[in-house]
Order: sequence, then C-alpha cells, then structure tokens
Amino acid sequence: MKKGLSPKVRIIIFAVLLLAIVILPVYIKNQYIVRIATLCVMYSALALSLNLITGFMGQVSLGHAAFMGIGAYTSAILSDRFGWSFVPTMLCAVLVAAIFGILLGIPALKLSGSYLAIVTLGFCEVVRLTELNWMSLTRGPMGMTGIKKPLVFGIQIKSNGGYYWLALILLAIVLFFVMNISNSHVGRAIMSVREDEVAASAMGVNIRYYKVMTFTISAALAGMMGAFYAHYMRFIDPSAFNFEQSTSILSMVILGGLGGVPGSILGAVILSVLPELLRDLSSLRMLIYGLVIAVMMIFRPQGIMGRTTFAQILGIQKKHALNPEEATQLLGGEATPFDKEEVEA
Amino acid sequence: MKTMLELQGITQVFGGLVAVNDVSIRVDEKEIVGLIGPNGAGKTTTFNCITGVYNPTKGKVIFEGKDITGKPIHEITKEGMARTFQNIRLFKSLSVLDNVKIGMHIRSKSNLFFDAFHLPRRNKAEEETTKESMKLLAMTRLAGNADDRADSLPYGAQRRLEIVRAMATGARLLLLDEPAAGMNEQETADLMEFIRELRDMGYTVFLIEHDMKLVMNLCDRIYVQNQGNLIAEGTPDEIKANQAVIDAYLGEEV
Repeated sequence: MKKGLSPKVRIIIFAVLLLAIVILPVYIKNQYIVRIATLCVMYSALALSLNLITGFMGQVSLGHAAFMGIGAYTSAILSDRFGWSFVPTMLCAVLVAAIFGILLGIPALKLSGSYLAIVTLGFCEVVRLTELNWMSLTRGPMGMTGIKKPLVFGIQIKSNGGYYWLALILLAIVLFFVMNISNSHVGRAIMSVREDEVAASAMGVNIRYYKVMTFTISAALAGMMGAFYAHYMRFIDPSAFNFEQSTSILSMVILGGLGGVPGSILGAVILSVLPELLRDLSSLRMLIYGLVIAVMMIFRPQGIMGRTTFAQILGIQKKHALNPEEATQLLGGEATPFDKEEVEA
Repeated sequence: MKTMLELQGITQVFGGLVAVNDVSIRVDEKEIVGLIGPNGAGKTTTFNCITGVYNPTKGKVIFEGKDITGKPIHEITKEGMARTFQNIRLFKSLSVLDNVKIGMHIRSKSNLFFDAFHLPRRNKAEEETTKESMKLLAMTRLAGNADDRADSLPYGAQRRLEIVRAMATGARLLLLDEPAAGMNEQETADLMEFIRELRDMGYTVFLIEHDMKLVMNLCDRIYVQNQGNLIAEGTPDEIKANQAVIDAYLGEEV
C-alpha cells in the first residue's frame, strides 16, 4: 500500500479522509449517495460486530441478522407502543439482543465449525419465524410501518444527513468497543480461542466464559444497529432479517479480512456500494457479487486487508523486539542461559 | 522437602482400554522428575489427567496439598502449574510477545470493563504484562523476535517459547511433554541448561522425554511407565540398572 510514506504524512492523509467522511452530507447534495453512504456506515458497524465472533474468535456465525432483527423489533415496538424516544429504545434493543446473544453463546460452547454454523443458521430462522408469526407483537408479514424518526437527546433526526451522522456516531461506538476489546487482555483471550482452544485453556483462559462473552457483546452491538435500521427504514418486516442478510454481513467480514478492523469497514463499503453500481445490470447482479467473493477466496483467502490494523496502516504500530544489548539491560545485566546461541529472525 | 504434586492411584480408562493403570507419582519442590517409557505407555495421558484435559476414572491428583482432581483445565492452571505439549501448540498466527502475554492471562489485573472502556487500570495492567513478558523473552533470548509470528520461529525456539508461555502463567510446577522432541544435539544441550536454570529460578519440573541423555543427566528421579502401569521408580542410576526397565524400554547396553 502506501509503503514509502512517513507516519506523519499518513496521519495527515487519514485525517483529511476522516474529515471528508464526517462532513460528507455537507458537500454531497445527491441524497441517493448520502443514503448509500449511510448504509455503508451501518453495515460497517454490523460487520465489525460480527468480526468479533468470526474474525477474532474464529467461530462461524450465520445468525447475525437475527440479533439485528431482535434489536430492530425491540426498538420499534417500544417506540410504537410506549412512545419512547430513540435512545432508551436503542438501549433496550442492546439489552434484549445481548440476552439472546447469551442464549446463542451457550450452544457455541459445545460446538464449533460447521456444526456451530448450522445452529446459528437455525437460530436465525427461529427468530425470523417468531417475528413472522407473533402477529399481536410484530404484525407478522405485514411488518411494522410508520416507525418514528429518531429523537436523540432532543434533536429530531429528519434529513438524510442527520441519519448519516447518527449512523456515524453509532459506528464510532462500535469501533470504540471493538478496537478496545481486540487490543487488550480480553481480546487476546478471545484470539487464543481461535488459535487453539486446548492451549488457551491450558494457559488459564476460561473458554466458556469468553465464548459466551463474545457472542453477547457482538449481539448487543448488532442489536444497536438493528434499532438504527428500524428507525432509519421506518418499516421493518421479518424478511429484512433473514439468512440472506446474515450471509451478506458475513461476506463483508470475509471479503474485508477476518480479524481486522479496517478490513470489516472496507468489506462493508464494497458490498454495500457494489449492488448499487450493478443496479443497471440487475439480472447479473448476484452473479457478479458471487464471482467477486469466489475470486477473493481463491486468490486472497485472508481477505483484502487481512488482519491489518489502523496502527499498521498509519505506520505507528509499536515495536517490541529488543536487540541483545537492550535485552541484557532489561534484565539488569544478567547473563542468560542462551547467551551462546542466536536465533535468526 | 515439600511435596508439590502427588498422584494417588490414577487410572484412566477409554472404553475397554486401560490407558493409565493405578499410577502413583510424587514430585517434590524444586525437583526435576522424569517420566519415561515406550510409545503408547500412557505418559501423555497421565499428563492429561494431571492438567485436567481428562477427568481420571479413578484416583486423586493432589497439588500443594489440595485435591484438584476433575477440575477444569483453566482452573488447574490457576492453581500454579502449566504445561507444554508434545506437538507444539503455540498460538501460531499471533506474535511471539502475544503468546507470552496470553500466558500471563490469569495474572492480568484488567477485565472486560476496564478493557472495553480503555480505562487507566487497563493501560497499567497492559504495561505490566508487556514488561513482564519482555523480561521473560529476554531471559530466553527471544526478545529479538518479540514482534514475529510465533510459527516463523525456528523449531527449537518454538519449543522454548512454549516453555516461556507456561512460565508466564506464574506456575511453580512446569509439566513438559517431550521438550527435546525433534531437537538437534546442540538444541538439546541448550535445553538441558535451560531446564537446570529453571530449577535455579525456583521452578519444579516434571517432564516426559525420550532423549535418554537428557533424562539421565537432568532428572533427580525417574518414573517408568509401560502399558499404563508404573514399572519402576528411582534415580537415573537405579533406573539404568533396573532389569524390568531394560526389558520394557531401554534395551541392553545403555
């Protein structure tokens, strides 16, 4: 990528890009583009939340749309029945989705790989069918219409730009948690589950605890984005949270890079924009979409960005390696049993 | 000397197969104890019974006076023992430093809350973990490779990293499953030196090994297992002279 640039230049470019993203609705007057940008932001957040389970913990989940749906329905129903404003309904959506995350996390303790994928797929279907058939609560296939526009701390969101900024704030929240968690004690424990469960537990990592925790956090974040979705589309029906939605979020994570934060965003942007670009070729759309992913899997199975972090892109990642003198210094000048031998890099 | 680990009549049955039969072993503090025997003798299964991978069919595992039989693996690690594996099981795609940091998992003072909100306590814990891990790596001449992927290290260094990762848990007892497997003579000699160093640092070592030079030179006491049963126990010289061991494992002219 931008190999030759110094960290300073990279940070400046990054800051300019970030500013351009933040003020996008100011200089882009085409509302269609602003709406697509909003979708990109929303799917970035969803992909990031799924990346916790699939990328960092290495467990395939095909049930992510279910959490989004649970969040969407929770928020829509609370807003419809009780007239609550967006922030409290969203927080309830987070809570309810998290509870379902625990419920799905429990079978994840016993299963992995394809078996777990099937359970999560089943979970997605169960949730969808419940939404479809619980007429008194969800209005079933007719869906919920006229969901209120969000009122956030006294600010009524009306314009496309307003929605875009709301989505950006939510993405920032998701980024905050996902980056903090992945880059910490808890994140390393989650990754150790992906790498080798037996070795991880031999290091004292409580696998069960971390599996359920990861499912819960991921579900909570997806529930939050579901709440946004409901109030943004202002119409939800069970078909928005089906298996296809789950696979499309999973595709974003895989395309961008499993276990990398910038990758998920890139994957979400590409797979949100691509269908729009191919709208004219609507008959070939799914074909091209499928082809892109198939080609990726063959030539770059780790995804476009792999596990690249923002710090690496900016060239500011910490180096820890020490040369022998520094190492001796760290130990207070003591000799080590391996003084004779050098390990080549 | 204080007894560190005691197995009392451990038996592990898989279906009709008695993999470990009534094995009783004692490891004292700051000892280096070896467990040897032919392939399929049940040595690794014995290790798995100690570390909680298996819940033994019969018998007790006592660690520092406490019955730890049947506890889950991660709880046993918290008690103060850690192991390495016969086939190296590093966190391959993570960095060398991260491998050691995961070893320090149970000693971290941070938790989900502090991590998720990036609070000062998380930063302090992270700093401590990094510093402590780098010290361990420096002690074992791996500090120069801290940022490399674990699976990019040469074989001997990977074996060593696995021991370092076990040390990082804060364990007082290290269980090493064939630490010298696949090593050349020089690497084995270094490893022997390293294990002696471990004892000087205060660690107790219980190891499975096929390299007789290592076992005989290093161990204070040796147990010999064959077809699930313990057939001998003693100092290296006693074991070398034991007819049952020669018949089952060592062969003549050792």
